[in-house]
Amino acid sequence: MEISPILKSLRKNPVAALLIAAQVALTLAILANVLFIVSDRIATMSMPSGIDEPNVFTFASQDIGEGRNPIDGTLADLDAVRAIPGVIAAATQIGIPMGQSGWQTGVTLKAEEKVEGPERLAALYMVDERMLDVYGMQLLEGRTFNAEEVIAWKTGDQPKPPVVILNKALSQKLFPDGSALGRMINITGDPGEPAQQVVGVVDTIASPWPRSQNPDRVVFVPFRPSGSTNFIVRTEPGELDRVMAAIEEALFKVDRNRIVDGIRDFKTTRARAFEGDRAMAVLLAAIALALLAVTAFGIVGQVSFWVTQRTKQIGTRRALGARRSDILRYFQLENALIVLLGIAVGCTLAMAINGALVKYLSFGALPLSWLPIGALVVLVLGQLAVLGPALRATRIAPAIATRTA
Amino acid sequence: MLTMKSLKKIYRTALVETHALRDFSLTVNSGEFVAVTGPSGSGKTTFLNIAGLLEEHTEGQYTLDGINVSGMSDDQRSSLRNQKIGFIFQSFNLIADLDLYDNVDVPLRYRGMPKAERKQRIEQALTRVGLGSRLHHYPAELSGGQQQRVAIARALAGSPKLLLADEPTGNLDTVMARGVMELLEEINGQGTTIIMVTHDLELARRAGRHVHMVDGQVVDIAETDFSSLRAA
Repeated sequence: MEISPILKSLRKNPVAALLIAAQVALTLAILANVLFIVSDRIATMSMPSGIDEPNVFTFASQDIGEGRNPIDGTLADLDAVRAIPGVIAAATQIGIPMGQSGWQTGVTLKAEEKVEGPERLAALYMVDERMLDVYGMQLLEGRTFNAEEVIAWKTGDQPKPPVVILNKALSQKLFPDGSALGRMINITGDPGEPAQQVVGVVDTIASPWPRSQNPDRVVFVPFRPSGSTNFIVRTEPGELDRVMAAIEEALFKVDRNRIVDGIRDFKTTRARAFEGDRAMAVLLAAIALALLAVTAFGIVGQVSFWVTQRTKQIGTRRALGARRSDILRYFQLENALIVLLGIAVGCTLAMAINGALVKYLSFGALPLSWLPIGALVVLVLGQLAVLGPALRATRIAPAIATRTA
Repeated sequence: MLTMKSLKKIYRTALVETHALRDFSLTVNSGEFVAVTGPSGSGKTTFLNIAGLLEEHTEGQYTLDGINVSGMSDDQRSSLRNQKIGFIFQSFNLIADLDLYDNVDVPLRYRGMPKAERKQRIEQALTRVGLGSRLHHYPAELSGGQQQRVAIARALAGSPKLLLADEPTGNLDTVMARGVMELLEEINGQGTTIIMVTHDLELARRAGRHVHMVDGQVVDIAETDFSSLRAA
């Protein structure tokens, strides 16, 4: 290995090598953070909703005029939707996973307790006795609501039911040492004696706001939104498109004085929820690629210059017995040493940049495991970038050595 | 040591065909000191390049130390060059970024020699040319004559059977040239075959044999009367 003479040679003419190393360091520092942020966004975009996504859609129905009783009208609408072939369950709703609108409430366990900060906040979903079928959720403990417990709800009513159901994440947060079943909680958000009894715990279900601080905590209350409201429908597998197409006609048969809009499958709901994350991931990935390209072209340019500058030296080395592979290895090794220096500096810089992102922009801390991944990327990039000029160097004829110019 | 029979070297471009060597035949025995002279364009450098396996000939037969080099792969030629031939170039061809030690080390590394043996050979070679105390100086810190001595040390360190010198004194003043020539004679005296291309007829006459080339062919071979030269 020619490490020692290469290092000595680089020490003699350090400027160009240091510039490349600095570029590599900066690239690694940015790349590691960008990769981490992109992967974080991808993980967020992939978070489970907890519902039967492929077979669920939602829509809104707005009554026009004062023609019908909102409670009876809603029940008639639900009957009409449930009668469409292929429908498993339907309900009116406030709050669906990733829907980006709904209610949020403070949850406390003692009368004197106050809701301070996001720690005690949870999404509030209004559901009826068909909640498991509508969402496609699993009940872990207790029971769901009885039909008798479900109360028609209109805008302005306060959600103060006697019974509630928690999802697993909220249950574990409130009662880390045991079961939540039978425990009393206060979901009004105001100080007061806990008056809601937990009757069931369901499995994972996401809140409407995936980027909130508590995206996994949900409390269910037995209310049926009525009048102009939102609906959620779950269909048999493969029936989604057909049912979505039939929904407007079925509702118009009940009452034409309405507007039906926002008929949207859950795939669209999820995509809309993560639009910003996707855009940021694409933008950052593009920046990372551009940065890598600039670094790669920088290396290509510098090594090409070195090859031209060292033509006589390469010819001499060939004359003294170097094989083409020796010349190739020389340039690869030289590049690897420069890039490794850049990596050493880049790792420190990456942690410093991440420290600033954590401190000022509330990003997550960069796991150390991302550094070797970033280092490997720039090392491979360096080797690929040096390959073209180095192969050109191997084609320099040894007879160049005897030319006097 | 070296036998060339009816060698031809033709450089071809789209428009021109240049015959650099024509029906070139020469035998150099082990231990000889042969000087090759000729006007510019006579084919001296082409001959040296082919002799040193830096270029391939177009036709004919070339045997180096009993090995027919025709048709050898690039790697085989590199390996043979490294093991059997030492080069001394007119402009020294030292690597400016490396000190004397590392410059002499270059061909030894390509031979895959162990570090300890390399160290011993480098120190011996540099001592032999009078630069044993300047191992870690850089070429720019030396005079032209000293740089050529380093080049000679580099050529000698691998114990080559054949030393090819291309105008070894071409860039040196008279005093330095004489010193380098005396060193070459000393090396030849210890058994190393030397072929030296030169414009300097006086230097050529100091070699054991003087080959004169014109238009890619040998036109005259003269044995040197050493007794008169050495006395002078």
